[in-house]
Amino acid sequence: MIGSLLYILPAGGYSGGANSVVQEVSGFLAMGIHARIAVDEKNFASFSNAYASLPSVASNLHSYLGEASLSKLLAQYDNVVMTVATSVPAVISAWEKLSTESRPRLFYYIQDYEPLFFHKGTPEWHAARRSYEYPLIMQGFAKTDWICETVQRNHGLTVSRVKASIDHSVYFPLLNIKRTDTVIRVTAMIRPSTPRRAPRRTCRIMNRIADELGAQVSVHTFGCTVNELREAGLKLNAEVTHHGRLTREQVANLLRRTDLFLDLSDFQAFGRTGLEAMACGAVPIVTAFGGTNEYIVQGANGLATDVRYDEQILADVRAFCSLPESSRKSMYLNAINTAAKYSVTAACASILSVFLSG
Amino acid sequence: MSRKHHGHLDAFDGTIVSGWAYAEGMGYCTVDIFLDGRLVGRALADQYRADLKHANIGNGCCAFHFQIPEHALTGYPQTLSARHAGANQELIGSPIRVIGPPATVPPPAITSQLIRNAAFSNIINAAGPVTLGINKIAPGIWLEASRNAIGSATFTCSHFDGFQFSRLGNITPGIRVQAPIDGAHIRLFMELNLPDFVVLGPLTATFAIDRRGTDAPPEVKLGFGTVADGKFCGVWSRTIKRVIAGIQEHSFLIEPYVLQKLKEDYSAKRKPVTIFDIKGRFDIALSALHLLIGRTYSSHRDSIVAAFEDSIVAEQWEAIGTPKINNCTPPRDTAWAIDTVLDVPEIVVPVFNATKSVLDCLLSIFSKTDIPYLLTVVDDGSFPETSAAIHKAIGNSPWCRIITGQNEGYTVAINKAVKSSVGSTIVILNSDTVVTSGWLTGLLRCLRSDSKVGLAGPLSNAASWQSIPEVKDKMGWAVNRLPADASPDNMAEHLRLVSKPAYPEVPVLNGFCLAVKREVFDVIGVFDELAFPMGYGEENDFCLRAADAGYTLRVADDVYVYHHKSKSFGAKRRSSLSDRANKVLTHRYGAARMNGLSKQMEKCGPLNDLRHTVQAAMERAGHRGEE
Repeated sequence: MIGSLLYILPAGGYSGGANSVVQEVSGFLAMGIHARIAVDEKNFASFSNAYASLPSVASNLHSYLGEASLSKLLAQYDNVVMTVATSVPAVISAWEKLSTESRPRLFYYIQDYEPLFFHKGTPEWHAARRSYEYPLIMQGFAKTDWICETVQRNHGLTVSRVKASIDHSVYFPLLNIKRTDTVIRVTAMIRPSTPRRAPRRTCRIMNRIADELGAQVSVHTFGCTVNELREAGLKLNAEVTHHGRLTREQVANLLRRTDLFLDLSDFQAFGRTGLEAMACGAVPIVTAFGGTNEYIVQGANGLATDVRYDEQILADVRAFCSLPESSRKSMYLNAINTAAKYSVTAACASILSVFLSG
Repeated sequence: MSRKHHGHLDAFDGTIVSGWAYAEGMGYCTVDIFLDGRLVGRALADQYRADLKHANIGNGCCAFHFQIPEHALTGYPQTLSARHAGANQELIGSPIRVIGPPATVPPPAITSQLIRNAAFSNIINAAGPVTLGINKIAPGIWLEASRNAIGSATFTCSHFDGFQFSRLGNITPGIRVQAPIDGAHIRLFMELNLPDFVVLGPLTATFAIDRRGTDAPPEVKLGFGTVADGKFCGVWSRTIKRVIAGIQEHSFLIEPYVLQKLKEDYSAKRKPVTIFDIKGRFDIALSALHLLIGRTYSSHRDSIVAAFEDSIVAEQWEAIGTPKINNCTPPRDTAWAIDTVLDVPEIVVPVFNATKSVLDCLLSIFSKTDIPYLLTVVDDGSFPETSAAIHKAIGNSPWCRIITGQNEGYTVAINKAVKSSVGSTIVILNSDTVVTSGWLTGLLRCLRSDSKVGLAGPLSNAASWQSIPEVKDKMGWAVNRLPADASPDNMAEHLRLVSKPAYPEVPVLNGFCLAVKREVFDVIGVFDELAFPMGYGEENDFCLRAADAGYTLRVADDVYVYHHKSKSFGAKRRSSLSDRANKVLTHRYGAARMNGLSKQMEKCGPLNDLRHTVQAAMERAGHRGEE
């Protein structure tokens, strides 16, 4: 129908973007499409470990090192999808080395607006910006209006809109394990190594919630080791239970027991974990900056908040905690309902339509 | 330790040094950590500690923890010192002698420092040079320099609202000006958007400066004035003689005449401007200027630390063209900017759900109130849809505030508003009411009819003894639904036509709409929230206490406010609350006095006469059926 398909993903795995590619490749495989992922040699071991539980993907990975090896790989496929901004120039350079007839069609799955990952003026920043500036060679697609509009506005590249997906075989609700007492379980992810994920704010707010709401809540964090917290000068109160680094199955298990999930990142292009929390039956409070309005219906299935204001975040948490049980239950169900719309099949179909139209 | 800087070095556990640092009126402090006099790192004091909050130090978010790099510890006694960065002042408890585990790895060069959230550090050079004369740097913003090649200016904010009442929109600090030569003089002009509403009382101008570098402190002057034909005419200014290093917040009081003068000049075709006049050798960044109603604005202090955490995001967010945030509820201040009483009435509307009624009520206030007022909505733990609707209805109107909180009951909600109110008269208005044209003017007229009057209330369709045309029906208190072809305003008009205001004195007033002079609260205190937490009875208790203190209570018999009648509780719960309240009141004031109230109200001649007249007028007008 569309020929073979290769995703170039030079990353170590575990991130929302990598998860997304992996589950969509699984979806394509299930549809009978020959789809593979290529990881650069540096990240290969880490990536293989991260997705060891998905043998159909993990056992079929390609690895590449340098332009020649990448060119050789590109020539074997009909369609190639780039997924990381900083790698786009290298992929295009490798593609240009091929003869016209052996060049695959190039697509760019823009999962974030990556200039926001680097200081202005740095080589990485320039590379990230350049990745959007090959309109004649590649076609872009993205899963939120925010990404499409931001790229279009700043670089003139037309980006097609596709659907996002979450892995419902991992992220699913189990309402019978939700606590029946009045204690509200609040969970957040802390990633000290990524400032845009606002680890200091998250730590500060979780400590405040534990202190100010006391016995009304049970506060949980995950996403890094205790040592990583220490190195970043972060300290969680004794009342906060820190679960360390978790696999995605463990994350899902924690989210299933969660009532309120906080993602206090400065911005989120999509905010996958927020949606995964919804799929597990938790209500998210997420940053209002970026593309979270893709799935948040304010007050109905979650809350988008101006994360720059601690007091605003706490007011939203208090507001949720003071809701009657019946209203909270209705929000859990709305959240599950919203997340249910993000299936792998629907996402794959929307991406296929880009390939067919390209 | 200077007056403004506070802090303490609390502990060192072998690898991690902990403490806190706080400076009044400034953002999160940065603490420099030294070992044997050598800088080993920098910690941001932005973390929460309950003990600091309980000790009333900032809001508790000024703790720091810092892991000393392994290579810096020798295994021998060393001097550990923690100092306020910029001010270079030792924290209390510092320095201390420490022994850490010996280094196990060869020491790498110290190149990284823990700076993660320095609010202004994101503004990097994308600057244009500043040349002699006028340099336009953005629409409505220009610089005037005293000589050529004086320095550079960076502008990172696409919208700079010189009259910014709302914190929303102030996404990043806006301007950085560098003049690395001695004797530089730069004047920064920004067009000022004057508000189109009446501002009563003084204003406070608040802005932040981040001064970098170690040169002699420059001088910064903030002023307001007008520009016409290229000439600036100053109206008001204040000078900061020495701008210290680091981030600092400045506030200046501006008397109302300044704004008045600017408005007059504006109508005379002169362009109002804000001016920052900077002299010396400098490298400073200026935040957006906030002009806020009132003498002080302590709640604004937090805004200086309200920022993106990642400096990369802060640096670029606005530039990528999506400065607006999505559909979240905007943060609103819950404190008025004023610490004195303003000569304006303050309307207090406690809300608990019932979105439609609340919106009807707010809309009627906005459209039917013809004099300046302040509005306080107390959201007593409503569901998010109601909260969102209130925020949307109120928008960014600076004369309105919303107090939010958990559901604590009607009486607690109104007391919360009364305690933080600043209006000269407090008008407590139920959220299931619809006010009519001229209602507030009428209530104030009644309240001011005599110096002894402390409380006044209007007539209504459903307000017990203040109901017209019927007080009671076979079900109890009458609700007097409006005829199908009549609106609350029609009723108010009928009333105005037939009423000859007598402002009859009564022993109690219904609490659905109650205007109270501020001095009454000063004398007898607020409503009794312990005895009547959910409402019902609190207004009778308050009225009786006011009467005992010598105040009179009068009905504004030319004012009509429509009352949907109690949406918050079901009939059964209402009856139970009412019975309980009656028991408390009887116990407090005696059965004789309580029974006497009804008799007095029944015999109130002017009200009885008015009821007959209104009834007759309605019949004459030929109103049909009930709604």
